[in-house]
Amino acid sequence: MSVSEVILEVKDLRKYFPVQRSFLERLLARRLDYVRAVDGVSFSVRRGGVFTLAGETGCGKTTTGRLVARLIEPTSGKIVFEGREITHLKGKELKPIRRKIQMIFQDPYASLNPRMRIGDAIGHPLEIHGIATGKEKEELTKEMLKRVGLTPVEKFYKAYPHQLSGGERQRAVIARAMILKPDFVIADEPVSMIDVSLRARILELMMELKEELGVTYLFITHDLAVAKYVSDVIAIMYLGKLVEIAPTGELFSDPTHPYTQALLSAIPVPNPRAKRARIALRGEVPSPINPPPGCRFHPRCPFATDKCKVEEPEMIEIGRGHYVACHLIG
Amino acid sequence: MSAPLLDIRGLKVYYFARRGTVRAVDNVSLKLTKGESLGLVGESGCGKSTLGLAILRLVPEPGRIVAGSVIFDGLDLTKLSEEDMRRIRGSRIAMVFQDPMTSLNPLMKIGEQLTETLMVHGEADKEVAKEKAISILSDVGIGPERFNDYPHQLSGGMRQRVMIAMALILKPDLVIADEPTTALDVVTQAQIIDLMKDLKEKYKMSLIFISHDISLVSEVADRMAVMYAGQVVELGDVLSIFDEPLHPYTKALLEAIPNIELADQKLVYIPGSPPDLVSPPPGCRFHPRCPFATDKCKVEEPEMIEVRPGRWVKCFRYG
Repeated sequence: MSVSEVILEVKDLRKYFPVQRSFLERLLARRLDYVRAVDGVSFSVRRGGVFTLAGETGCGKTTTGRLVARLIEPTSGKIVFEGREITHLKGKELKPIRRKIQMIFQDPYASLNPRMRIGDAIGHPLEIHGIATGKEKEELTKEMLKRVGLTPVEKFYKAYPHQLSGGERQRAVIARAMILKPDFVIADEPVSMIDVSLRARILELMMELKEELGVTYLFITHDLAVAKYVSDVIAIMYLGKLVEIAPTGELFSDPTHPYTQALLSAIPVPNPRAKRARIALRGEVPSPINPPPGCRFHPRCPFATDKCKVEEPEMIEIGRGHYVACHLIG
Repeated sequence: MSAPLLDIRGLKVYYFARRGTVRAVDNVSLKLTKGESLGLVGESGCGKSTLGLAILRLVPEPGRIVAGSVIFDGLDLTKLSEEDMRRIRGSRIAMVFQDPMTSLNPLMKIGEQLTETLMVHGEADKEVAKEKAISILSDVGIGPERFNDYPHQLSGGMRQRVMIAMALILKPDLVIADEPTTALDVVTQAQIIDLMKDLKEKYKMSLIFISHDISLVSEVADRMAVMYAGQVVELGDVLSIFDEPLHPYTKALLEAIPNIELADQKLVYIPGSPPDLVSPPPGCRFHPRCPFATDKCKVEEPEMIEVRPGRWVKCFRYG
């Protein structure tokens, strides 16, 4: 297994959701409106790494994750996993991919069936994929419970989700994702609902499991401070598009896109003496239904020129693994 | 030092739930001077929101203030009649909540909501009220063209600006802001925080800023109180707490926050989880998670002691 092998490649991926309208509006409307949630996103993820998609609410990061997990159908574009295009696989062909790609969601309350015991919930995927049943399933499940620190195992195996704390529930969700020994795990805001005193432990657990099982993570977060601790590469998303991709260290030391710079400057720092120059952005994120022409960031960009208003910038490589889509660069 | 604007003494707020009595706020004492801003920091379920609500006597059922007093400008709020309390709310103490969508009337234009507030509190002339409303909206960065908008027509950040305008319109002495930016993205959050700092100066009001985010508190507050399991465990000015956290919980909390300015920070976590406030541990409530816990900590509850002028801590390691 080579370190530099690409496990996932996403090419020009798009997802447009039709805007819901009433019957009368539909009759009168000349054309359908679409929310362009993901609008031409390309990136590749190396095996064994942690690739983070970061951005604000509504930027399309979660939709991108769901597209990669094949939970929703893309409008166009390509998803290549382990060298094979999986964009349009269905049914039987998709099932082995489902085993290899697992997902961890943000809300551990909503992602566990309240009527299913924790042991059954974690062991269920083993049954679905015909890996183990009965006694064998129970043993594998208990092993996993122990691994994620849900001990005493007997107690947690029989417990219902409501009997667990938020942190314990998220451990259970992680256990369920990991029990199939997946190659690729999409973790969508896995710690945003976890209190700060427990957050580091959950992240540490995720990183330990990555080493033990050789998992690759697609990490999705709005929290760049958290992203900094786990990621090898961070991609910044704005209004359905990637604006910058960089190795983690470089993104923080040399943020290049004006949006990345503003985003970093807005993060509160636990240091009351830090008098940081905050880059104030004008207004708010525009609607993804009619995104601005040219560079999507231009209405809020302090450096926007006439060119930015009409021409969309290409993603260009400005350093090793560091890509930026901005007319100011190059 | 002049008499404090707010003096909370030995306050206890319990929820009498079916599964037992939740001791959400358990013997909290705090003072706030005029013009000062105090940060109330702690993790979910530590009692910080309940404390904020208790000041305004808005604790929801089955919660009740069971002991202590809340002295505001010489008046004990816990003893006021409901009618007198209603006169204090809004005009002298106002509140900004986390979710503006649930605090604004969805069927009423934002301008009307502001004008109505003024008129309910004694402004007779509708035109004057309207002028004042437009002026306060401009203070929070919302133009007059938005006066006739309904809440759903505004973005999250703008709604929170309207909420702040609603809180400030009667020029209260004290504003209690409970996680006012938690539902917002970082860029919008930064805008709102900067706005609150400016307005605090302009309106010369006192502020209680409640947040789980200690970084944010450090930007807004002069002093802060760290809460754990229903109690204040450390109190002091923000700079000295950051420079030298005394309570083991505060120290661990500061080490657990990721800081984008540090190159190689090792994140720490606190083992275990916060206690259930129906049956908090005996002795010091933090002892089951504390690396320095001794036998004494398991049985005896430490007093809040003043280590240095203005620096309070509730831990046996300091006395």
